[in-house]
Amino acid sequence: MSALAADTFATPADYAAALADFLASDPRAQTYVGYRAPSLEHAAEHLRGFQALIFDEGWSRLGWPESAGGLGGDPRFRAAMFQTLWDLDFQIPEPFTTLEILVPVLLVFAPHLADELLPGLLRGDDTWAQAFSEPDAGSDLASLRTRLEPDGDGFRLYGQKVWSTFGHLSRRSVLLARSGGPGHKGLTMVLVDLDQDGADVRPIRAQDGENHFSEIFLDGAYVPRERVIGELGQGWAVAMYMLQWERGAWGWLQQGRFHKRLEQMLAWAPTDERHSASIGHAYTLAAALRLHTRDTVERLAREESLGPEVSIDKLLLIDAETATWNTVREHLGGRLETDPDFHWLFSEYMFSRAAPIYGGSLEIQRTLVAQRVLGMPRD
Amino acid sequence: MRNDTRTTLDPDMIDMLRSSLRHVLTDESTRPLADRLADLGWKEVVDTDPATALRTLFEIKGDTLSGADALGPSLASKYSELTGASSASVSIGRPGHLTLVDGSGAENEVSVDEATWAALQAHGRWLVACELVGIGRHVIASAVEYTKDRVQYGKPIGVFQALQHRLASAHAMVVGAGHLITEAGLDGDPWTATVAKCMAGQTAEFACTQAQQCYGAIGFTFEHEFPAYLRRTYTLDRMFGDWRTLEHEIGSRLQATRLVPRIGSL
Repeated sequence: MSALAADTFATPADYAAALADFLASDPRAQTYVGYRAPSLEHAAEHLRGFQALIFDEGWSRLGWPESAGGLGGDPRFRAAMFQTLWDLDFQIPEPFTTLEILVPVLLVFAPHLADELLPGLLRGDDTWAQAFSEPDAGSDLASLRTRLEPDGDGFRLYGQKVWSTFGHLSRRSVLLARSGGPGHKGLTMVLVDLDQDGADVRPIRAQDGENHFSEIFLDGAYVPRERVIGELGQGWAVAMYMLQWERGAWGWLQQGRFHKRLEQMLAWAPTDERHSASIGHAYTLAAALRLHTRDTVERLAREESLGPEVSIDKLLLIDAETATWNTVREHLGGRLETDPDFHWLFSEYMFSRAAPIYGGSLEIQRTLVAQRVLGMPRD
Repeated sequence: MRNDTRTTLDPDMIDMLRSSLRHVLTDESTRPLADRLADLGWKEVVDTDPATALRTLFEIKGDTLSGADALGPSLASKYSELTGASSASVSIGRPGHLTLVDGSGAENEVSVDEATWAALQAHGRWLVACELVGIGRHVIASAVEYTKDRVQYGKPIGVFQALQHRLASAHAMVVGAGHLITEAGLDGDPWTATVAKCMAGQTAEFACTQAQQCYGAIGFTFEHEFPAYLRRTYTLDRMFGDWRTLEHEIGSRLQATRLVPRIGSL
């Protein structure tokens, strides 16, 4: 089909309604409803078909510019797609979460790569990871040591990355490395192929039993000059631009999940008034997160640049995520841990415990809000 | 942070409104609030954008700890809008019952249908939620200033992350509650008003707890403004359902309907 265009729909809500009609009536789409992933690897394989289907039909291309393989329109279309997928119980293919963070960065800092690479990424033919943290550079990212060294027309990477989400399922990775001296100014962002000698990717099994992250060992992996994102030495600025998408758009995507899981939980267990307060607590925080991140999505759609206040999105996300999964565990009781039908849900529960850690810890976010938003003094 | 992008009043107008309301709510006049608001051209503002006007009035009432009676007259306007009956002030009694006060101060208890009573309760919840958010913002801002000035161990205590983290987490909740009161004003849905009141009540209490710890001993005395804000928070939280009761009410309704409303659309 792909007769869709940005102006096909007057509002994101119209788009969402049309997408819902498509998903409910298309027999290919229907095979993906209610999919419960037995593992991340299974999900990656299984949902590739779904990602290609909604790309080929045009739905996932709304909200992205044509240079990224999109059909135009602002990010609210993407937000509406995520909402619709959650509401109708479609598992969101994991690459979409990476897309939300990496594609806006490429569009701004490496438009020459966008035409060539983004359509394949959006369709799911290609998959990318991100590699920032190192064994000795977690919250203190600017202390990272992986070297980017000139070699002929390009560069070679030497060092070790860790906590690279879906690294072992990705063909390439956006990666932050040191091309100059110490501190923020010596950093450069690149896109590196992982399927080459000199890049060794090893998955790490997380507490939910899944291989969420990988270590990446770099021993001379080659980066062509045109795969530098932004300028040499501009890596910190690129990373900061990325954060507004990581902390902002991600929150909207997650609130859709929380509302859906609360709804499913209510359907899967009998009423128990002893749980009402904790259910009400979780719902209230999820509603606050929803409205706040809607505001963030709208600001991104107006191309406002977001500052340190995106840490508020993350703080509200942590509160809502923690409360939602606490009430799921309370309401479903021991079935969550023991019922094989809930294996996938228990896995999500266990992953939720990472909310105050990933993407800048709770403590880092609070410090940023205190110093950069409230204006409290720095030592 | 305010979310005023969905209003019809432009940002300059809203800033002017805020400063005028701050003046009206803190002056020493004994004239009724309604008369002082009338001097501002309040009716025109309310007609243009009632949700923003009322939200702003109650936010600033919370911020300034004004004792002006704004709730009774606002409920009277709502009652008049719903039924056509006029009164100077309305207070909400047990389900189905209201007390109307006329211009001379005479009280008259009336019975109303369930829908009217519920709509007034929701309106009251929303207005009080706005006032609670105003308190939350105030105590955080005031505590931030205090931690810049108060020096211990040779540095302002605001440099300590233990205090930074308290105020940052309270600020995030106030921002979240701020979105809920804005949305409740726009959608006019009693459900949203209830969720907003629940969030605002726990937010104001949490913000007070965090601020109090920053003030230390002085905040525990009437030498300081803080105890008055704390007491007002407790009073407002009790009105139309305290936050723990509302959490239970919300969760109970979700369990009964097995539906999880998505507040706010794109």
